[in-house]
This record gives sequence, structure tokens and C-alpha cells, in this order.
Amino acid sequence: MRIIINNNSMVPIYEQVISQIKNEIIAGNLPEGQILPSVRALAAELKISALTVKKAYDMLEAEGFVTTVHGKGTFVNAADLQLAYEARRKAVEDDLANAIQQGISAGLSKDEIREIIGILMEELL
Amino acid sequence: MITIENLVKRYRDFELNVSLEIPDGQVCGLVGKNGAGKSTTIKSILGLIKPDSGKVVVMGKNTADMKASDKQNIGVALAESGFSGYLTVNDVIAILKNMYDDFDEEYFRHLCIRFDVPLGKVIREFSTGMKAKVRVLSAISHRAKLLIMDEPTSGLDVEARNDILDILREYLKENEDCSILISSHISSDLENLCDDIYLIHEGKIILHEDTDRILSSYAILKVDEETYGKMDRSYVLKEKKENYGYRCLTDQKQFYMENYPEIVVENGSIDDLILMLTGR
Amino acid sequence: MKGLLVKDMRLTLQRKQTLLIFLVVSVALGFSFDGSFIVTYVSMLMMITAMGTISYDEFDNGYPFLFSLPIDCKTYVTEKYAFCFGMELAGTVVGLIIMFITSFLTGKPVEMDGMISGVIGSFLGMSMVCAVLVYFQLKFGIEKSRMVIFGGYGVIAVILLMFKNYFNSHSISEATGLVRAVIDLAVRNPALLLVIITAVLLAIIYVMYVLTVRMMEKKEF
Repeated sequence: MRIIINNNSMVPIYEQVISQIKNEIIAGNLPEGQILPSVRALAAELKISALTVKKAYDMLEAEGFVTTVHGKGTFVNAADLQLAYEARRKAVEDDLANAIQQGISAGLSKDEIREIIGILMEELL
Repeated sequence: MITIENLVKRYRDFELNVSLEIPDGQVCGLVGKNGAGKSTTIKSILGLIKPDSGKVVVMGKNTADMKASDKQNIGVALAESGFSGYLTVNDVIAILKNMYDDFDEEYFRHLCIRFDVPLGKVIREFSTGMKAKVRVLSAISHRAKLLIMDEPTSGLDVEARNDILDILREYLKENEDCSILISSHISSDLENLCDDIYLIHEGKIILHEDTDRILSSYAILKVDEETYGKMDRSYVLKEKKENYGYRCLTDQKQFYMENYPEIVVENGSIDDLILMLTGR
Repeated sequence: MKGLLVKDMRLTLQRKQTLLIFLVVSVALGFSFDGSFIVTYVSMLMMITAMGTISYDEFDNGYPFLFSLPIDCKTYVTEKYAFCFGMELAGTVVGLIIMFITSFLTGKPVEMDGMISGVIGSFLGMSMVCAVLVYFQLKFGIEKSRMVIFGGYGVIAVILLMFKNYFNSHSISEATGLVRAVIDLAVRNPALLLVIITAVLLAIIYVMYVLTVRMMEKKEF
């Protein structure tokens, strides 16, 4: 499992952990039944607080990606395709939201931003 | 693990008055400027000084009733106090072996080799970093449930500080249920180790927050005069006048990012908290 | 307790050179002095060396850490007393060995008469002084206790001087009160006097021990 934390990012650290673990699960790098590192082990590895990791694991569990068995550890659930789709969609939404935010900061109007998205869609698709 | 209720200790020109709580298995940071009361708090927990009033309970026992055997489960490293400089690390090993029932000599020696700590040289000839390592190793080698570290990284260079923090991270990993109370005036040391942070200033706790929240929700807003005037300041904890306008500390970064996209937002850090909340 | 003893042993052994010099000087003195003087001398040196570990403990603000270890004040004080008396005893043994060897080498016979009671007496006397000194060292620290100890020497000197003046102006037969009683007892029943003195010294040592523990328990580090 490979997780890279960006301490300067505006995205909270636990969210970075969540999205990267999700991506690993969706991409199939973390197969069903795979045990995740213990909270403290991952905290030590990423040099972040254990509470942050715990929060990330809890949210992953709430979203159905993993199951925590008390005293045993946290295990990866079978990747649910619907869940996976939603997660990807959420990631795209987040990225677009960021871009729009930047556009607004740069002083672009709503229409201008829509126009940019339109042009890009034409070019890329 | 540790509960402090209204601990009061008065000195001629200083009064400590704190309450704090460290749950089992939590890593808790105590930050503040020099002379803010960090060491006094830690000394009260260890029973080295006697409170004027209030209660300090460590592992279910009042510090006043703590017996020598209760300290078997605590590992302590203090900033300005350690084994006599006239002893060698070999001497320290012999002493600890006869001091702690669960002293793990092999582990201690293993760490000494890893961090190039000379065994036969007297400690007073060690570098500051090396001395600090000996103190931390002495505190962790009997597999204590509770580690109490007063400024373990004080006066060290970046590399030595990192070594010390790595030792602690590894210890946490290998001893899943242990707790740590660590104080420092170098807050970046604590940002990536502690679960929560107590900020102490002039003898009082002025902030208690999860590190996670400090890093994700706290921020410095850099606002010009005009925006400052029209901005909703309900979530501004503290502000400072600057050349460009105002520098504001908030614990609701998201609110300002969403509603005032023109504001420059910088991620919060414990240093910012200290500077903004305790500064002039 | 054991850990503390190991600490003090190791601290003392760090001063190998000093100990060696002490030994050489003691042997040299052993040749030039007769009787049990050398025994008292060596055991006193050892006692002073043992008390030196207090300054090592105090040096560089060592106490806060020391008392964060699994020991309490009582253990600490007990260990200090045990270590000092143990070193004193070791000094006595070494002194006796030096005494017997030098007397064997010089061919001068050891005067056994009164030697044993002399050695025991000086051991107890020294232990009492040690108990008092440990108290002052722990209470006032090395620097301040030095002043107190010098003051103490002054008081003892004055008392001795008073005794001397007393006996200068009075002959022994004129002595009255407590002094008279002690002299009488020494003549009639020296064994009983020895027992009484021993008991008094032991009592003083015990009281000093209790006082030291109490004083340490009140201390903050």
C-alpha cells in the first residue's frame, strides 16, 4: 500500500488517507480480506497522528470499504462497484470544485468558467 | 491514564493552574513557551513537587499515594536532568537492570548500536544529541505503559530531533496500548506525533484540540482592510494588525474558503496557534 | 534499592585513581603509625568517598530524574546510609589488613589489647558523624552544607576546649555530676559504659535516619 501525504495541501490529512486507500481498493491493489496496517503502524509510517489514521479508518468503515474487527485489525471489503463508482465520481467532483474555486479566486465569472469547461470538453473528448 | 483536576501550584512570581486528561493509549502534547508551566505540570505528575491544591491521578492513583513500585510502569525523560555525567552507558545499563523488573537489556543495547551511542564513554563527554538519546532510551527500555517526556528534543539539531521522534514512533507501534505525554516548545515535533495538543500559557491551559483538527480546520487568514470590514468574523479566534490588513486565526477554515474565496488561506500549524494566542 | 547501590558503586569506581592514591597513602601511613590509627584512617576515607556520591547525585540537577525512577525517598535515604556504612566497614577491613601486613613486615606486634573495642568505638563514632553529615548534605546541598559542617567542627572544637579547660583547672578527682558518673562507671564497669555509649550512638544514628527520611519527603525537586 502506498500513501503519500502532502502536508501543504488544503485537503485535510485524513481525507488524503481516505481517498488514497479508496483508490488502492478500487484499483484492486488491495484485495478483499487484506489486512491494513495497524493504526499506529500507519501513523508511524506516514508521520501523522494515530487519531488521524483512526478517523480515516472509521470513515472508510462507515462507507463500507473496510471492516474493523476489534482486537484483530482492519480488513478490506470486497470492492462494491456501485460504491467504487460513487467514490470516483466524488473525487471528480472534488477536483472540479477546486478548479472552480481557483477560477473564482482568479476573478472569472460563472459564465467564463462554464465556457472553459465547455471548450476543454470539446478538446478532450 | 493521567487526570489533572484544578492543579494549583504557586511560586513567588508564577502560578500554575491546570486541568487536563490523557486517555489510555493517547499521545498528548504539551506546548507553550519557555516558562509557561510545562515542566511544573510534568513534575507534579511525577510527584516531584507537591501541589498547593487540586488532584493529580496517574494510572488510577493519586500522586501523593504513589509508591515506588507504581513507577515501574512509567518511563521518564527530562530535559535538564538525567543520570550523572560521570557514569557510562554501561553503568546506566547495570543500574536500570537492577531498577526496573522488565528492563530489556537486549533492546537497549540494540538501540545504542543503531544510534551509535558509545557504551564505555562517560556521558558528560557526549554531544547534546547523544545525551538526549540516552535519556529517551533509558525511559523506553522497560516497556512502560506511560512515557512522560519533558522537552526530549530541546537543543537538538534537526537530525537528532528526528531520530528521537522516530524512536518514539517505533515505540508506539510496538506497544499499541501505551500513552505518551510529551512537552516541547518546538511544535513541529509534535504535529506529526501527538493525537491532541494542550497549549499552556502563563500557567494556564488556553487551548485543547486534536492535532488533526488543528492541521485541517485551523488556518491563518490574510485579509485586507476592506474584506476585513465586511467579513463575518464569528469564527476568528484572534487577529493581528499587519501592513496589508489583518492576520486572523480561525478554527473554521472551510467556512472562509467557501464564502470568501478572495481571502488568502494558509494551513494552520501549532506554531501559528502559539504565536497568535500567546503573542503580544 | 539494588539499582541505587549499583549506581553508587559504579560512581565510586569511576574514581579508581583517587581510591588507588588513598590505598598507597594508607599503606605508607601503616608503616609509620602503630596500632589501630590506620584502621580508623582508612574507614574514614572510605566514608568520605561514599558520601561523595551525594554530590554526584546532586550535580547537574540530577535529583528530578533520580526520583522519577521507581524509588521513594525512604529507599534513597536507606540506601545512602547502607552504602556509607558499608564503605566504612570495607575501609575497616582494608585498614585491618594493612595493619596486620605492615606489623608482620616490620616485625612490630599488633597490640590486641583494647584494639578491638577501639576499632568498634571509632566505627560507631564515625557512623554517627556520617549520619549527621548525610542529613546536612541532603538538606542544604553540597555548597551550603560545607558551611554548616565547618560550623559544626567549630562547635565541637569549642566543646573540646571547654573540656580541656575544665580538666586543666580541676583534677579528675574533683569532677562532679555527669562527668563524675561517667568516670566512676569507666572505672567500675567499663563494659557497661561501652554498651551505654554504643546504645547512645545507635540511637543518634536512628534519629538522624528518621529525620533525614522526613526531610527528604518534604523536599521538592
